[in-house]
Amino acid sequence: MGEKVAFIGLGVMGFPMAGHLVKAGHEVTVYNRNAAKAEAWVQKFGGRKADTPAAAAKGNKFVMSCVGNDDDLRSVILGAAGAFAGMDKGATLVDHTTASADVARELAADAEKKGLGFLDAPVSGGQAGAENGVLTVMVGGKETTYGPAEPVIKAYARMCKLLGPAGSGQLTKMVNQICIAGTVQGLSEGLALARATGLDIASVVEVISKGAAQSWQMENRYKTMLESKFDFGFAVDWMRKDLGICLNEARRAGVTLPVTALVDQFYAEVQQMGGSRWDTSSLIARLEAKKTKQ
Amino acid sequence: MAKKGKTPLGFIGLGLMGLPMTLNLLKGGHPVTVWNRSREKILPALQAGAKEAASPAEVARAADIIHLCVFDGASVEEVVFGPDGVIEGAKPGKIVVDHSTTGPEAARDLGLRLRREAGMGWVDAPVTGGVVGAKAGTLAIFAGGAEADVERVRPAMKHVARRFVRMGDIGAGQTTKMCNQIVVGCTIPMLSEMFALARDNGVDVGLLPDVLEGGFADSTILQLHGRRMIKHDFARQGQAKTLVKDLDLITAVGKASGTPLPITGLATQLWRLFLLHGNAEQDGIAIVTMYEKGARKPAVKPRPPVRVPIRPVPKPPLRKKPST
Repeated sequence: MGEKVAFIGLGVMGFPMAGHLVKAGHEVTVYNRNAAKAEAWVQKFGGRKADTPAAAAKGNKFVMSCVGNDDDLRSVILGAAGAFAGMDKGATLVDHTTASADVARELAADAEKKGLGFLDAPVSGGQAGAENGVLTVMVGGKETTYGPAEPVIKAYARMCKLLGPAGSGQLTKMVNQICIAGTVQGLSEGLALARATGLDIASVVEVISKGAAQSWQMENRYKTMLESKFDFGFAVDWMRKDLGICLNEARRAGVTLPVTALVDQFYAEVQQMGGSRWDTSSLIARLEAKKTKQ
Repeated sequence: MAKKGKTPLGFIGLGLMGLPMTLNLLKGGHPVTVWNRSREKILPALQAGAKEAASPAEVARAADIIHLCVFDGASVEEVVFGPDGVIEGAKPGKIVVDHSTTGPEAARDLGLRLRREAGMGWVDAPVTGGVVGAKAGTLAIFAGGAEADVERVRPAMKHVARRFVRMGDIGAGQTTKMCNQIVVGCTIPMLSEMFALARDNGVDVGLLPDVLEGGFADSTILQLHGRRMIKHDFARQGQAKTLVKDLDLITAVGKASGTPLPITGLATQLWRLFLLHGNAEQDGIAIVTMYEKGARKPAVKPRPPVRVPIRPVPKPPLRKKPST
């Protein structure tokens, strides 16, 4: 059955995600800071657009958001023109932004006071996952809020799970990013050695991807890494934003993250190489031998 | 005793560094009005002739130049802009000199705010040289601020510092302190590694500071802290958590300027592990114990491995080679 849903933030992730909601039969209203994007979305998927997050949120049972960071999130949710101001009592905000656990708890508490539901629901799976509607969604919040929201989220998710109270989705996403950081660095180093010693890398990967070294990164990224093809995927700038969140949370929790901190700094080197928009797999670019002039 | 014609000074935060600095300012003949969050710390300064104030505001009323040496940016904000803060005793033309390590961004925010709201000057003036240097009056001070302000602060600084150098506008002193702390924060764990390698390979660790003196591996850290590390003389001259706070600031500054800092990033996490072992208030040089034999014991005793009988894996039936 179709629900009335609003979607705030039509970036590379939000744009196709909101589209999947239409395809699943929901009645969708969108808001985007840059109105041209909202117009383009309406052209492509139908549905409606609104001029403010509050106007988009009004009269909808669910409001999804997917913006850049904590500050962006506060700016579209709070205040007179923010989504909370427009939402009816009993409506639920599902936030797909990768943000801090703190802001999730803050918004959850605020929602509770206003008689609204809140779920922090960051996603994994990248642009391709969003376009194909096969994202992994990690959710924090109340079970009673999650239950009715799950079928709506499923429009663009292959995997969706409630992991605990508010903030648990963001914490899970942090765990995800920490695991990726270390894995990509390890894969980069392995491939660098394989290449330098003249191994047939396709055969190497064919063999070791059946063993303990197997990873999503290995299977999906090794070819592009060897071709130094990085102009796609999840940008280094965004990864550093996420790792910053992880390192802050670790500081709060009194946890040490040596490899994550080191890899975060390696990404700073990639940024210096001009790779701010490159895919996270570009860590291997740091390891390439400098081409010397003949 | 206070001499005529000497600028009346204030000092807020008489901790490990602030107290000896205050004592040296008094010795130099400056009248000094003091305040500290916990009062007992000011007693030695009162004995040496300092005047007691009931609040930071009162310090600001009594002094032309108000020195601060507190924990971090939040503490500076509290004593300057909080209730009964410096701002309540402010007068245009007075100057705040902040010796705390706050990072350049906080220095700029706080300094500009004080100028805007009270017409007062701001000099960020973090120090290096440790408790030893503070007591001996041989600190190095990195100053950031308007040239005229820095020059007004300079005369009194000869009593506490061997070097007082203007590094640029507000914040530049803090940035220089970050540069200093990169080296301190990375060198101490590095010396710990060096001592461990020497020991594990049968070299007498006690000989190292002498034999390395004057060579490329020599440093003040090796000569002062290194010797204490070897002797396990952990009498507190500073706190590990302060150093980690500085390293966190450095990482943030590097991130903002797009400067990769891999070694600093890793060292910060090694320090955080040291804090996790319950050492936040210890002198940082005690991190050497983390590199000593038997230091790394699992928190939970591992269980003996369970012996699982190995079942033979059934072999796939042999396929006969097709005969040719």
